[in-house]
Amino acid sequence: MRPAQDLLPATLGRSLLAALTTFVTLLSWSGFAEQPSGFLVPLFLACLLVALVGAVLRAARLPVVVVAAGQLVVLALWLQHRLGGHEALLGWLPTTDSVRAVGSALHASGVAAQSYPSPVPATAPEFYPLLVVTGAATAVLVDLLALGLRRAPLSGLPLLAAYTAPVSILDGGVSWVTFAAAALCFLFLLAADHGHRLEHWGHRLSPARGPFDVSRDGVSTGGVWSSARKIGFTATGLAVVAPLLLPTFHAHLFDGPGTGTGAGDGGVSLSNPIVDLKRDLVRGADVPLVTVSTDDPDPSYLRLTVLNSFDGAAWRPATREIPRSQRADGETVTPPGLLRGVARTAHTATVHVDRSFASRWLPTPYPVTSVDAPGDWRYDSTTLDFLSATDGQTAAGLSYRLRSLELRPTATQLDEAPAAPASVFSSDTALPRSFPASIRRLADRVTAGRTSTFERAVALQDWFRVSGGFRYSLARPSGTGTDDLVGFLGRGKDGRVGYCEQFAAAMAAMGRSLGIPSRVAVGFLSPQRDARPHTWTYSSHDLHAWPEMYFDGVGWVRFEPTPQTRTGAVPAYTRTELPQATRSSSAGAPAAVPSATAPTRRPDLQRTVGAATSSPTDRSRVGQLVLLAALLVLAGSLVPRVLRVRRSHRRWAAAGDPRDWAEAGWQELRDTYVDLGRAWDRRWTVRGAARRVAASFGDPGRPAADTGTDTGTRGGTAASAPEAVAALHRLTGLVERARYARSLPEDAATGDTVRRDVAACVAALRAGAPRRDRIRAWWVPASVLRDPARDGGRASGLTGLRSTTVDRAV
Amino acid sequence: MTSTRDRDAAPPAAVADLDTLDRVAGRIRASIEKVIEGKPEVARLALVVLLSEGHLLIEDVPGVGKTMLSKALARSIDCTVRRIQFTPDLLPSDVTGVSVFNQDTRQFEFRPGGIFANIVVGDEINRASPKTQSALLECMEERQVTVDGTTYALDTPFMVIATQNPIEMEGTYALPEAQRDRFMARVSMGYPVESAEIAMLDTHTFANPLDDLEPVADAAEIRKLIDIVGQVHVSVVVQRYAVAIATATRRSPELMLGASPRATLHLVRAAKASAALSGRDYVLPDDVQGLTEQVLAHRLLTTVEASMSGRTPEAAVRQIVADVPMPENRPRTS
Repeated sequence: MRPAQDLLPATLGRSLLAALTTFVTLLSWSGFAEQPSGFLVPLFLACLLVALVGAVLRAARLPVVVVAAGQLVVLALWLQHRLGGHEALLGWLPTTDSVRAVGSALHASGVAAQSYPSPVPATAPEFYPLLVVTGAATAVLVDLLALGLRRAPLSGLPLLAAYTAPVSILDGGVSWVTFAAAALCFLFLLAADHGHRLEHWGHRLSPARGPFDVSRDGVSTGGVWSSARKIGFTATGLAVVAPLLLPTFHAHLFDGPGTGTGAGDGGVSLSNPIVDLKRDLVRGADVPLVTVSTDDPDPSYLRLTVLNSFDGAAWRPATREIPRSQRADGETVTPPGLLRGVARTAHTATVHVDRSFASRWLPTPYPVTSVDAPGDWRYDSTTLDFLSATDGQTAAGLSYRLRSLELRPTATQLDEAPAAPASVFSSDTALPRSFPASIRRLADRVTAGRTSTFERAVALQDWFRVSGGFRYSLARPSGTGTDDLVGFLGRGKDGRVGYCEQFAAAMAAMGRSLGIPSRVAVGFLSPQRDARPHTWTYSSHDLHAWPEMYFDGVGWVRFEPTPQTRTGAVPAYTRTELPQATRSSSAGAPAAVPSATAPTRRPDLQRTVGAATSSPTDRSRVGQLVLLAALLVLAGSLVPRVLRVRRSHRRWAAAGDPRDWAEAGWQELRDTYVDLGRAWDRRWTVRGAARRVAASFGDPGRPAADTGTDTGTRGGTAASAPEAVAALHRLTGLVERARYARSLPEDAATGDTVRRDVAACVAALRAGAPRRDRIRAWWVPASVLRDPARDGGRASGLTGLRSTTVDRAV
Repeated sequence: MTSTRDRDAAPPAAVADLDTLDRVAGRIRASIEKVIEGKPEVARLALVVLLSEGHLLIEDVPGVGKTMLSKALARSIDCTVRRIQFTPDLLPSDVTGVSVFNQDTRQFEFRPGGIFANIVVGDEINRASPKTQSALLECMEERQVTVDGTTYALDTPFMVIATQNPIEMEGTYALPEAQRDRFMARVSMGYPVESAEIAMLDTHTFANPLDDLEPVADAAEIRKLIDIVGQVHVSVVVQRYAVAIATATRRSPELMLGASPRATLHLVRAAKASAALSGRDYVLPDDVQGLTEQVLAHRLLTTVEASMSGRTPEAAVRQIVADVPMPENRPRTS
C-alpha cells in the first residue's frame, strides 16, 4: 500500500479533472444572468474547494461518506463566510446570526429567481447564491459518483441535468463550444477512471510514469465504453424527454450571444402571448416587429390572439376549431355577430412580419374579412385569430395581404344590443367555481345604477381608467389568476397598480361576472408612422392586452381599461354620447382627443422600462430552473434503480412455466449478487455459482467445507442462514433440471415458490453484504450498467485458476 | 437429491432404476473401501469406468495399492476375473489365447488367453513388450479376439484395469499415445493419508483383506447398471460444453497433442455414469468438469516449451476447464 503523500498527486489530478468537468458544464449557465461572472467565479472556487478537499481526504484513505461529508462541511463553511461572514466569529466560525444571514441570502436569491426573467440583470446580484449552491452541490455529486463510488459514467447524469436546465430554458440553447468542452472533459474523466482501475489492479508493464495512456499501455477499454454508451443513451433520452414533459418551459425572448446589449438584432418569439407579453415589454430594446402598408389613414390595434378561457389560474386561449376549410387563403371571413347596420370602412393592407418575430399567430386587425398568407394558417370562426396549423411554422419573415373592416358602431347601437346568443353567452361568461365573491360584489358596486349591458361595460372601463385610482406600472409580477386579480383590485400594498395584462384580465373577468361575454385580446397598440408613405410599424414595446366584449349586432368590441398614460384614447364609441365617460376621461386625461393624438408611448415606456430593470417584476422561470435541475438530478439518480426494478419485473412477468421461473429466479439471484459488488463469472456452473452465493450469505470469510460429492450448496454459512441455504438448494436443483434434464414436470415449481426462494436468498445475500454495498446496490445496481450474462470472459487466467482451486478446496 | 429426480421420464432411467444403481454401486464401493482405505474418489472413478464400459489405467509408484484396487473391484463382483502379470517375455498369445491341435479329436482347439474374462487385471502393463501391449489393446477396443481367422467375442461387462509404473522407472516400455487413448481414464492412487495408513497397518498386518471379500454384485446386475447409465440424458448444452473443452485442448498453445474425438466420447460417457452415481438421470456440466482431468490428461502431450517450464498436461487441462465458458442456454424449442 502506498503512503498517503504518494497517493495525493494521483487523487488530486483526478479530483481536479472531475471539478473541471463540472465547472465547464456549469459554464452553460452563463445565460442565466447578464453578468455571469457574478456567480461563475464563486462557482469556480467552489469546484476547486471540492476537488482539493476530496483529494486530500481520499489520499488519507478515508471512507467515501467521510470524504463527501468533509466536502459538504468545507463548502458550507465557505458559503457561510461568503454570505454571512459579517455575522460570523472571525469571519468564519458560524454563529446563529451568520446562519440566519445565509438563510435570508438564499431566500432573497429565491425571490429574485422568481421575479426576474433570464438573463437576470446585473443590478440583482442577490440572485447568484442559489446558482452557486446548486452548482457546488453538483460538483460534490459528480465528485462522489466519479471518484468516491468509481462510477464515472454515472456522474454524467448530474452533469447532464445541470446542462439540460439552460438548454431547455434559454432559447437558442447553449453554445456548442461549451457543450464540446464539457463532453470532452467528461470523456477524459471516463478514460482516467478506467486507467485508475487498471492501476489498482496491477502494475503497468511500461516503465514510464507518465499519465495513463490507453493506447500505449495496450489495454481494452471495451467495458467502460460500453457503460458510457449506455449512460449516454439514457441521459440523452432524458434530455430529450424532459423538456417535452414540461410544456410551460417554452423558449421566449432572448438576445443574441451578446446578452444584454439590446442592439435590436435579437428575436422575439411568441407562443403563449400573455406570458410573453411582459417579458417583451421590459426588454431594453424596442424592436420593430410588424410593418403594415395600408390604405387606412389611421390604423388601430393589431390583434394576435384571444384568450377566451379563464380557469382561475390564468386567461388562456381556449381550444381552437380550425378545420381545413378555414384557411388564410384569401377566402372571405365573416366576423361573428356583425350585422349590416354598423357603419364601416373596408381597408386593404399588406403586412410584413419581421424575421425576429417568431409568432404562432398572424398579426391582423379586427375584424378581418380575408387573409391571404403563405403556409398553413387557419382561423377559428369565433375568435378570428389566425393560428399556425403546422408545427414549427411561425410568422417570422412572412408577408401577406389582408382586408379588414374599420367599424364605427354608435353608442346607441351598442346600448340597444339584444342579449347575446346562447352559444356565445354560455362559453364567454364562464367563470371558475372558485371565482371570488369579492370581485363579483366589486363589479356590482362599480356598475351600480347602470341598466344596459353597454353602460355597465363603459362604467367598468371608466372605473379602471379614472375613478378606481389605478396606476400603470410594469413593476408588477405577471399573472392573471384570481389571486392576482384580487390583489390587483384590492387596496393593499400592491393594489391597483399594474399593466395592461391585469387591466384587461380584471375587466374581462368582472365583465363575465356581470354576465357580459368577455375575453382578453393580445396584440399591438396603435402603430408608429414609418418614413415610407402609408406604412406603419408595430414594435415590441407596443405589445398590449385589452378586453373585448360581445354586443349582438356589432360583434366583439374593444374596450381599453388600461390608463391613458399607456394607451391614449379610449375607443370612440365608449366616449361619444355617454357624458359620464367623456367627462371622466377628459378629467383624467387632458390630451384625450379622439384619433388625432398619437399615443404617448415613449415617455411612458422609458419610465416603465426603467422600473423594470431596477426592481424584480416578473415571475420568471429562473426559480423554476433550480427546481427543474433538482428534479432532474433526483430523476437521474433514480434511473438505474428504475431500470433495475423494471428489468426484474419484466423478467417475472415474462415467465410462464417452471423452466421460465427457474431461469428468471436464477437471473434475479445473479443480478442481486452482481449488484452487491461481487463478480459473477460466466464460466461458473450452476452449483459452482450457488456455492459462492451461499458463501456470501453470512460471513464471506468462512466458507464451510463441502465434503459431499453432490450437494453443491452445502458450503457457505448454512448455520447463519439455514432457510436461505435450503431455498438456494431448491432453486439450484430446479435450475439444473430446467437446463439439463430431459424434461421438467409442470408441477416442479410454481412462480410463487420460486419467488419465495429467490426472496429468501436475496435477503440472506443482502444481510451478508456490508452496508456500503447494500446502499450501492440500491442506488447504483451494477447489473444495470453491465450485463452479468456477458461477463466473465474478461477474467484473467490467473483468477480463473484461483477459482477452480477454490472449487476443489470447497 | 431424490427430490430433484425426474419422475416422469418414460424410456429414460426411472427412479427405481436409479435407486437400484445407487444400492448396488454403494455395495461395491463399500466393498472396495474395506481394502483400499481413504481413497473414496479412486473407488468412485473405478465404478464410473466400469459402468460406462471403459478401461481404467492406474498409474503410480509401486506399493500404493494399484493391484489391490483392481483385485478388490474384481472380487466385489461375482464374475470371471483374470489377472495377467505383464513381463517382458509375455507373448501376445498368452493374452489372446492360442489354437492347440487336439490329438484325440484331431482338430485345433482354441485355448482362451487371459483376456477372456469380465474383468481383466493387467498388472504392470508397461513391463510387457510393445507387441504384447498392442495385442491387449486391440482386444480392449474391439471387445473381440481373432485367432487363426476365428473371431471370439468377449463377455459383457468387459473391463481392463491396467496398472503401470511411472515411465521413468527401470525396465518399462511406455505406452504409445495411440494406446493410452484406449483407456477411458487414468488415475493415480497417491499415498494414503496418515490415519488411513495407520488403519491399514491394523487390518493388513496379519491377514490379507482380499481374502475376506465376498462378491456383492454379479455380472447380470452390472449389465443392468450399464443399461441404466446408457439412458442418462445428456442435454445439447452439456454436449457443447464437452466439445468446447476438447476443442480447447486442441488449440491450447501448451499442448502438442489435443484430445481425440474418442476422448470426447469417453468424457461424455463417463459423465453419464457419474451423473447416475449421483442419483441423477441427466448430466450436469459439473459432471464433465469433475472428470476432465482423469479422462483427458493421459492422452495429451505438452509442447517442449511447456514441459521445460514444468507444465504438466494435468495443469493444462485444469487451466482449460477454468477458462472455457458455460455454453449459453438456447431458447427452448418445445
